[in-house]
Amino acid sequence: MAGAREVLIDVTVNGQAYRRTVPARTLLVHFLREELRLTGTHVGCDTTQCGACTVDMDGVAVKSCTVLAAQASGHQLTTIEGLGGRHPVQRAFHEEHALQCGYCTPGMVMAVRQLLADSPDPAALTDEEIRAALVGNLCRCTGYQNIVAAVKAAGRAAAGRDASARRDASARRDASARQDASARRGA
Amino acid sequence: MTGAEARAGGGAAACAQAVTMVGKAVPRSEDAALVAGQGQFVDDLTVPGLLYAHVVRSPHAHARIAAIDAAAARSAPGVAGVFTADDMRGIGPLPGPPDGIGPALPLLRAPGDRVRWVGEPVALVVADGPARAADAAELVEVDYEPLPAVTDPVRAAAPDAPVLHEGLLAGNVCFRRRLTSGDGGDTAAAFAAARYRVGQRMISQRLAPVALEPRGVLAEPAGDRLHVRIGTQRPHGVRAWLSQMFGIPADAVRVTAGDVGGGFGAKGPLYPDQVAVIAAARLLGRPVKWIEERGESFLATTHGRDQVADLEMAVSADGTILAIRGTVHASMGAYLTPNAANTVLSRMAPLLPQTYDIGSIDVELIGVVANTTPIGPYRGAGRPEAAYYTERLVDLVALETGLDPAEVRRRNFIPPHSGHRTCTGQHYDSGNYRAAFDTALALAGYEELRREQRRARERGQLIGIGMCCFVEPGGIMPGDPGDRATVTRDPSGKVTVAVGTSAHGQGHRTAFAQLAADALGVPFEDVTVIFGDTAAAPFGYGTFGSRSAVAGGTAVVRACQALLAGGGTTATAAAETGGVTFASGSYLCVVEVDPDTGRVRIDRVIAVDDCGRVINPLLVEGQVHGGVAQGVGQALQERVCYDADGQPLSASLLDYAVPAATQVPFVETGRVETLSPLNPLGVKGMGESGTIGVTPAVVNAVMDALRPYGIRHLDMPLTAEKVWTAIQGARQVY
Amino acid sequence: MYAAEFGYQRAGSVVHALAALADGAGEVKVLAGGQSLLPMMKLRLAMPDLLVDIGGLAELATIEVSPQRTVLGAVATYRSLERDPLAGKAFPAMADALAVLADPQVRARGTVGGAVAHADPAADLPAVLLALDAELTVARRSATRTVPIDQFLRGVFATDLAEDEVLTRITVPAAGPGQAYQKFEQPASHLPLAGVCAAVEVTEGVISSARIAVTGVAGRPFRARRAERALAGAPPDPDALRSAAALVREEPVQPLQDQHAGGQFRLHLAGVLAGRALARAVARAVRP
Repeated sequence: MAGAREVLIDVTVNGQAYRRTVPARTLLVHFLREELRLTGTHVGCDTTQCGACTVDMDGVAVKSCTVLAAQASGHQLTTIEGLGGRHPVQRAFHEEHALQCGYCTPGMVMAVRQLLADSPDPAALTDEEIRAALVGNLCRCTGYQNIVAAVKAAGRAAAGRDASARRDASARRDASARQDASARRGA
Repeated sequence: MTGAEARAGGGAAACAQAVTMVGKAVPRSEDAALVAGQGQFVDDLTVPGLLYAHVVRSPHAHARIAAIDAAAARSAPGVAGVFTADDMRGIGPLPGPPDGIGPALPLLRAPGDRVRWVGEPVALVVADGPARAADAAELVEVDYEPLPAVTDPVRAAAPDAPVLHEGLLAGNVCFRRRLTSGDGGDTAAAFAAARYRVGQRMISQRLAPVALEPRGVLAEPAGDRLHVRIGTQRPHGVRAWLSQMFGIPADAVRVTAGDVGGGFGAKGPLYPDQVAVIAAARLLGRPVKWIEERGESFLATTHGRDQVADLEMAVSADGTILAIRGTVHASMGAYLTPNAANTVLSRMAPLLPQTYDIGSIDVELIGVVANTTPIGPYRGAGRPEAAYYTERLVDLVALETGLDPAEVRRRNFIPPHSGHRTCTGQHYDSGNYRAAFDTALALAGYEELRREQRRARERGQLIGIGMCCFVEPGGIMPGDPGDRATVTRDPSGKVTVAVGTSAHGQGHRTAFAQLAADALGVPFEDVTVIFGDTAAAPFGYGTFGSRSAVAGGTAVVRACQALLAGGGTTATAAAETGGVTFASGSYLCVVEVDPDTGRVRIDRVIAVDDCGRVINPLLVEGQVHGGVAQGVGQALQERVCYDADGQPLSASLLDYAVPAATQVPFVETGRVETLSPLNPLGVKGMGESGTIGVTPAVVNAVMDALRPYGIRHLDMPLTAEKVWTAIQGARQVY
Repeated sequence: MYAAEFGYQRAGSVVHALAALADGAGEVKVLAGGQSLLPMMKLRLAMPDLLVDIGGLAELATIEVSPQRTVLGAVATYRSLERDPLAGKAFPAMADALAVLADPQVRARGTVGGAVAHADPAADLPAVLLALDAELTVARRSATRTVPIDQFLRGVFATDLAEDEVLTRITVPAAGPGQAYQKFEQPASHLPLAGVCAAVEVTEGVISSARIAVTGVAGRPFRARRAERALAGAPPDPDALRSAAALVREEPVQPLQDQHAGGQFRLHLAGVLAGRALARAVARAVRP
């Protein structure tokens, strides 16, 4: 029995239900951009590395260039457009100058959102942990430094009331990591 | 209050007393749309009846085309047309290099033509969807007769190399120019008298810019008019070139850049694939969009660097550098883009003196074509190469004289100045190189670092310290008059500033609004800045070469002054500046090398920049961070490489190592300020300084770490295997 | 960027998937997470006629940790494995590998079975599974068989999977806490230029067993049997580990080479990483 070369997609995106018929080979990123005209999710590569296409599928950040629209049928998606523009991560990116050209930014924001959701203590994330979590999101403009600062700021915001205590905890862990580095150098 | 608000001094409140915006760390106006995914990049646009193009490219580095059969492609589902060079007749040539020293890029190819690099556009398929265009492109049959290929510039200059073009200066050599301070006699005398001659072959390897947004274009013909949406750094340039090539009056061509996802120089030129798409759109009478795939971009978008430098310094007994001489072979790629030769002749060689008071120079510059992607501007464009060659040689001078590398630099700096003429004829506007250097060393704790290094060496740990002092010319004005700005005030008091530069991430909407707010005494929030659309923005040269704060900024300030003086509702002014500015800096890097694996870990980067007046420190710092990331990439992990047949080996992110978040160090920034006397703001262009300053600092640090092994020099990128292999070799010697 | 056209079927059950594989006209491939297959299809390096999507089959995504063994459904994602509280404790080397494998988004979709069936010579998890002597359950319409992973992995992108077969389960016998995975990345792809998993048992102050698997270095991950034999009965001290590491370096394999690293350097890295993985494994064995 041959499979269908066109597939019926039933998907909820940013809370809204859509039903479309598309070629089976349609990637989720193209479905979002071309069918639904949600062009905030970007294409930056063809080897699943750059992360500009990152969206949330059933509460987990995935690279929409490496998901078929057919695979997403029946699932719930959130794209950058679904965050509203004033999400704490978006605010933190703005305040910390964590974007320049803005092309990697939607995917980066979605990846950061996932990192914070996965962290038991988002306000205490270290530089190293943040950078490792963002290895799947390339940026050619910012050098990542302000993105790391934005993640920390958003983490503190997520932690709310105990923010300053946790900021100290994160700073202590970073200082300790730098001390380890110095110790390695035998200072 | 957020950190940024604190830095901005509480924000710009609308109150009677004017708040100075210039110098404040104002968060960007650009951000709201971009963080929300509301940017308008070329691929985000659609128009009714849109068709999509796919480029058929040469799979051979060098070949003659015997035949092209597009019949199957033409009848494939959804195909509107297949185009070759025959369809491009009547379209004028792409802009090429000055003096006709070499051929510009052709548009497409036809039977009988030669292709000269893997990726050269041969034909164009247009269909009703991008996937169907890709399907049909596979059906275009091209018969190639392969020819021998050459990829390395020194090899390409050899008399027995395969020849790419007829009629160049000699074989593949398209220029051979000598840069001398006098008649060469002064340099010869310096070398004859020198106590030390310190020479080295150094390679600045070929790099790919890799802006996150691939190149693209959306061409919309409308009768005699043409609207082109294109990710470009030079919208007015594109309009002028298209007008010329297609024979359409410039005012019938509208070019819109929209949001551009990074450029780094590579979105400056106009490309044959883009022109072919525009031509196809006009022939079909339909709008056509084309967006490059990433793998395609590694072939089709211009590369940077690719030079081999054989240079030496004449040095006196006390470490004074007297002269520089030698030869630099520079690849142009298979064809010459307009600025490829200038990059070497105007932005590399004349910058070799860097921050030092060097008496004479005699350098031969040899430009060569080869079967590789054409060279175009890439962040720094000549200046990183010059800084690298000079700063590597300075560290080798330290090695041979036994002086501390810091001391060699101190003994050679041009003293603090507001005007210095180099032996290469460059006029530096102002600078205090010693101050930046001292600042960097103080921030680093240099003496303590050297002590740490001595202790580490006793334990067998390989710690290295490297530095780089550099100048960065910026604010280039390619023509006269300069870029324009138009300032308009509406009855409610809101101000619109339209300017001829064209940002692609640099934050001009914010920076120029800061300038206008101060110049006019209006609240920052009341100023809107527009650019990038030839229908809305006055003439300008675009954004590249660290020019916009100088050119755009000066135009904005002058227009504001004209508005105040004239008393009307609108005023236009051109950027009249006194010339090219010279930012400068001192960077220092600390590395540790793992002797078991050769892996280099960067422990610290200290970046002290002098860019004159700072309009917005957030933006300046951001440029430094991004430039450092690219500079670290060149030093440690990026390289475009080809095999012996000219087949690219690094045409994907799986093989070309663009630095990821785990591969870029934390940057400690510092600042020195020597205002430029050449423009009313005192600003100096600095967008490329990170890339210029960090690469030599990293390489010098690694070579310093390897000092115990007596390894003199290693070429970039300093991969683990390269470093480890060198250590093994040295261990055998000892 | 645009795959060639193909047909798509979502499998409602394993039985359905196996029938589709057996009956399908043309080239039929199973789609699980798609993190290996879809990139190849986007570059038109793979052009199957039919994709059978088993990614939604919950019965193939389970993770069952018990005292004797852990059974992983082939379609369990790396992310689900990372977040399983028991699996990480049961297999510290797996936790090591998962932390450095690909990136969080790819781990959210990529499956453990997909990695094994794809057989990229530079993949992290197969080294751990090989060191731990995992057994694979392979199903076809008419039968099911089990095969040790060392027999299953044949070469570069080559396994012993037939065209009508699907990998359904990976069974990992329980092991002690003395295990670790160390990796040296290719800076562009972040795949291992070399990756070594070491699993040791230390009994009464002596290494009673050592298992060492190397990935990224040869056409398929391999066990460094000479080093393993040399360590059996040896005290877990630096000299013994250093000798073992040297033996890893001297394994008679044909190393991979490309513009990123030559064969000699890869073998050298394997030795260095083996030393580090063994040291870590020993430390975890004596102080879990």
